[in-house]
Amino acid sequence: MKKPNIFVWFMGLMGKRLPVYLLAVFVSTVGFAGSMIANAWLVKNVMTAAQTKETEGLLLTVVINFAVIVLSMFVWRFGIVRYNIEAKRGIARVEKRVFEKVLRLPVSYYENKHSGDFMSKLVYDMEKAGDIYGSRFRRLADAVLSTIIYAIPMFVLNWQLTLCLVSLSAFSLVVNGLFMKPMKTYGGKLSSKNTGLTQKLTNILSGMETIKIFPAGHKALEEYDIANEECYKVQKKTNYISAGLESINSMCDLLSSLAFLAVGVLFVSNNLANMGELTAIYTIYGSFRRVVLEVGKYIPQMMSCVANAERIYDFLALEEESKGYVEETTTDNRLAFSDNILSVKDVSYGYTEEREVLKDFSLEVKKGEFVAVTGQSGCGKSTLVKLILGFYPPKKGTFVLEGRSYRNMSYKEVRERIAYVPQEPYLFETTIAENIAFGKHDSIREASMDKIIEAAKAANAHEFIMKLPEGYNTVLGERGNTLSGGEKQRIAIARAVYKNVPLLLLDEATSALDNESERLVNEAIERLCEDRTTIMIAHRTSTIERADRVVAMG
Amino acid sequence: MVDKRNKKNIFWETGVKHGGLLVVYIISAIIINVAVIAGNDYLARATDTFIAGEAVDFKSLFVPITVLIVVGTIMTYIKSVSGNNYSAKVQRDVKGKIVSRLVHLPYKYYDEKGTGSIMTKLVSDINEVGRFFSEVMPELIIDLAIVVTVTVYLLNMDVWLVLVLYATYPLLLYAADVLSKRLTSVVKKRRNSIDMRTQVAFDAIQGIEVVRSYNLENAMQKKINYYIDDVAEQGCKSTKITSMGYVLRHTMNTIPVVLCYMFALYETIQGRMTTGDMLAFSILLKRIVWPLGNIVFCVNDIRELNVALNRVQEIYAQEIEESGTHTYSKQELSNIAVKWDNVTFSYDGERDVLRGMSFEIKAGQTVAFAGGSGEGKSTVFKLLCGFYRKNGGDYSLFGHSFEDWEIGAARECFSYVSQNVFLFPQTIWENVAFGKVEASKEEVIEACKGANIHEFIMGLPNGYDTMVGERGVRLSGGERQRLSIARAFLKDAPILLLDEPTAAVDAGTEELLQEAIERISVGKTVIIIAHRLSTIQNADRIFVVDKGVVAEAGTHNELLASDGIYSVMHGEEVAGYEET
Repeated sequence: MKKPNIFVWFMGLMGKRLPVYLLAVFVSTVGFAGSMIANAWLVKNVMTAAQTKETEGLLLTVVINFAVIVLSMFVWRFGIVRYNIEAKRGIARVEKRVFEKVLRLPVSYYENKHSGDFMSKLVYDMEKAGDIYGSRFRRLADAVLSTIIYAIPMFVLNWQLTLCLVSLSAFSLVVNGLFMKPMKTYGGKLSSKNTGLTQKLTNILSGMETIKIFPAGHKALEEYDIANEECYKVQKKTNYISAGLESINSMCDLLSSLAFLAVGVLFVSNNLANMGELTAIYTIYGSFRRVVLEVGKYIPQMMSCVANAERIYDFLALEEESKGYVEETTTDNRLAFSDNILSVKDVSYGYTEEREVLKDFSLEVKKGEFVAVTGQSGCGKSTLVKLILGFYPPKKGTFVLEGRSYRNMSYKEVRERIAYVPQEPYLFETTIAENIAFGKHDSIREASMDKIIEAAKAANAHEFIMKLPEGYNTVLGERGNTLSGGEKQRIAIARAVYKNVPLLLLDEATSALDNESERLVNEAIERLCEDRTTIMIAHRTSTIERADRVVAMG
Repeated sequence: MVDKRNKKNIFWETGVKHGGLLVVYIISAIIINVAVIAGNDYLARATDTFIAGEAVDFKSLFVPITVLIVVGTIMTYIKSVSGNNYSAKVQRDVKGKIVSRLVHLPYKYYDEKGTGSIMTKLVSDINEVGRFFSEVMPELIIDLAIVVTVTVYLLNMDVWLVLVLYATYPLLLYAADVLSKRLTSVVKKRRNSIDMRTQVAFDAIQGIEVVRSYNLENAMQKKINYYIDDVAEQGCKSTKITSMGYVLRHTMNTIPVVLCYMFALYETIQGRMTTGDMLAFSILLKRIVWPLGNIVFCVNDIRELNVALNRVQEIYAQEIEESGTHTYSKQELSNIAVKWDNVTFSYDGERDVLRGMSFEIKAGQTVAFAGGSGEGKSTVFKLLCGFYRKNGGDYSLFGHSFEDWEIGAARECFSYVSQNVFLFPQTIWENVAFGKVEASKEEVIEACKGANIHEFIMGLPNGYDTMVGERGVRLSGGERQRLSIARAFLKDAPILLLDEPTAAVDAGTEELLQEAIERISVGKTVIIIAHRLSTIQNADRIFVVDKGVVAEAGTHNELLASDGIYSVMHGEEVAGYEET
């Protein structure tokens, strides 16, 4: 796919807001210009009065001028506020899309990318790209508009002379244009260095315990320092480039004054322009030069932000997890597994082309059965879980759930029918009640408290929850770190109970649980399994012994 | 040595350290001002004479203009580089200082603030800070310089003019102050919402497997949308305030200017001022009006940026974890490795986890903590390492009060072995090498062999270069435990904290693990958190933890004989086995 113009694409992200936004930018520019013109006019009138000593009617003119200034200031403010509102909401819109995207990428993305990558995108790139809406575009548009506004009367006065002057300015613009590319390149470099920096920071924050207890943990800090230094170096290079640009612009400014004089002399002495025209053009040319300078200055600044927008583009262009997958390999459409809740037939899968973790694996699970899956680590137990949940499409083979092939179901439907308890329970930073309610609902508001308590009781979690000062409303900290391993596990089980579906998929915890905890967890699992079908990745002999059937993998 | 509490302002420190660049910036900015103004004056005069109908002497113009162009160009370059590098340097140093401080902060800080907030501060707020140093502050200084010089000049011309000019400024200052105060509260709210947004995003990514398997995408989206919208709304509010400030500034700027003109006009008509004077005055006025307004409304900018500055400073000023100053030589260490006397602790000040815990562990002993879930066994480890500080009681480490120990030296005494160790998203090399400063490859391999994990590692496609952690190979609990043993081998600390694995990983792995643990335990004080009583029967001493105190202590046999909690637990465990 061909990449569109990033700037155009990014502005387009505003959607329906764009026309209002553009209009607001225009209004604010006009308002501001209005006040400047009224201001200049006022000064001119006073100066004329001082020269001619004629003060009649001056007061009225001053009052009118002042009124115009105030009025145009309010027009300006109206424009500024409106455009800012549109910009802020526009940014919010893009942020939402970025987040929507990260929730919907294939599972392999999260396994291959550092979480710092995305965080940097959301915090750093988004902020810089948002500057396009927030300030960069308006400044540039303002300067371009003003350039045109100033150029028109100049052209009307004497187009030949103006053409000469404009082409001089155009030259400085071309020079500025040469800086566009390096600025964009360095904007991109800076962004990737920042991603690295955020990664190192994430490492430090998540590995704090290790860093504290091992003196060598300070390596993580050194790594941050190195990344920080790299970031600084790129920033420094960027500074040199933009300094070069700035100095060229200031040179052009003085040169163009000189050029004006030379061109003016040339034109007047050749009778191509008269003194009056020249004087008039001269007064406007000062402002014209200033805004052209601004155009030159703002374009490269904008390009640096466009580099960040491009990263957002690349991110949004990533392929999302498909809604479901379509198998090509087999036309075997026999769905005669009526009393089997899940059939896995001849499934192969490998993370890389060369190494197949699963090879022609088949498994039939009857309704109400308790199946324990065992095997050495690395034999593909966890992969099987992920395939059943549709985290990856299999290379080959069929899955049939409740008589329907995965090919006829969306992943969403598949996942709706399976209650999954992962090996390491993950609890979100919200209340315990909501963590359980997440089993079926999008928020606590849709859930019934009675059902939540029921689920917690079934999971043997109710008692310890009630011992907490805030009970079910206890807000869990990051990674649920105030609870013990067993407690977390039981909340995760309560979540699965709350989901209340016929098929349970459990990845037994390998991490340490004490006896009592394990008893409580096992009891909960047993209760959970009662009238349901259970597939359990088992590590413990006690679990394996309890199963109706043991499937050894590998 | 890190200062315990930092009263110093991090920005002041770093800002002054690189102050040389700022001086260069200001000097070059002043030279540019002079040069550009002089150059333009030259040209303007020449243009004026030309427009007045006289011939222009290009030759006489050529040399000064060329000089000015060269000076202006060079100075602009210097100014730009020095200003931007100044800001970049300050940012770099602030980031470095903050991060090196992060590891010295007490655990409580992280529990309260969360990763999102710290991340936003170091990625986003720091950018704002950069803007302060590259734009706001230098501009403010230059504006001040201009205003002062021009005012002095004007004072020489006409004192009354200056009075008229400044007459409305108190009002303007007042207005700016009122607005900026309102702005501060809005900006603070906005920043907090940004923290929350980052936090929610981080949470969702960390828990993506659960998000997926429970179809929680919409739930997460709703959550973050709430904060994203709030950030936008607070942004809109702050725009309304700042834009009001701009309007005020322009209007209020215009009033004194108009008044000044009228006044000057009056003076001129009265004959007290010449037209030439008035012309000069109007030129100067033009030059001073903008900086004047800027200075006043810099207050707005500064207040806004101050929110960001304060947020970063807040980390810096945070009290770091308590630490004594003593390090002890081997001869100074007593043979009582750990002694607790009536130690109490609570995470939140409400739920007491430890309610007066006492025990004594001799050097070289192997002891175990047993007891129910949530009774505070893991908390004991956290307190031993000083991750959290006890609320009451005494804790001495090798005969010295823990409070006297330099915290780093105290931690040198402990190795921690667990299945739940955090693995950095890096290679196995790097992860194991955390055990020792400047560990060589041979040492790492030796340690891994000792931990019985070498063979496993060699079996991985990339061997020791295999990536682990959040991206890369997912290791099982047993493998992680053995990696943590390898780290412990490298560290070779006198006390080994062992978070017992569950009995059954799988038979083969179990054996490897036990062997490794035995090997690492030789000659060490071993403190075990036991989850199964069967594995600790040989311990020199077992502490049974119940309701936050050591309820029983003794050897396996003694405890069984005493017929207490331990024997009940033991009975349950045995029954549990027989049942299956």
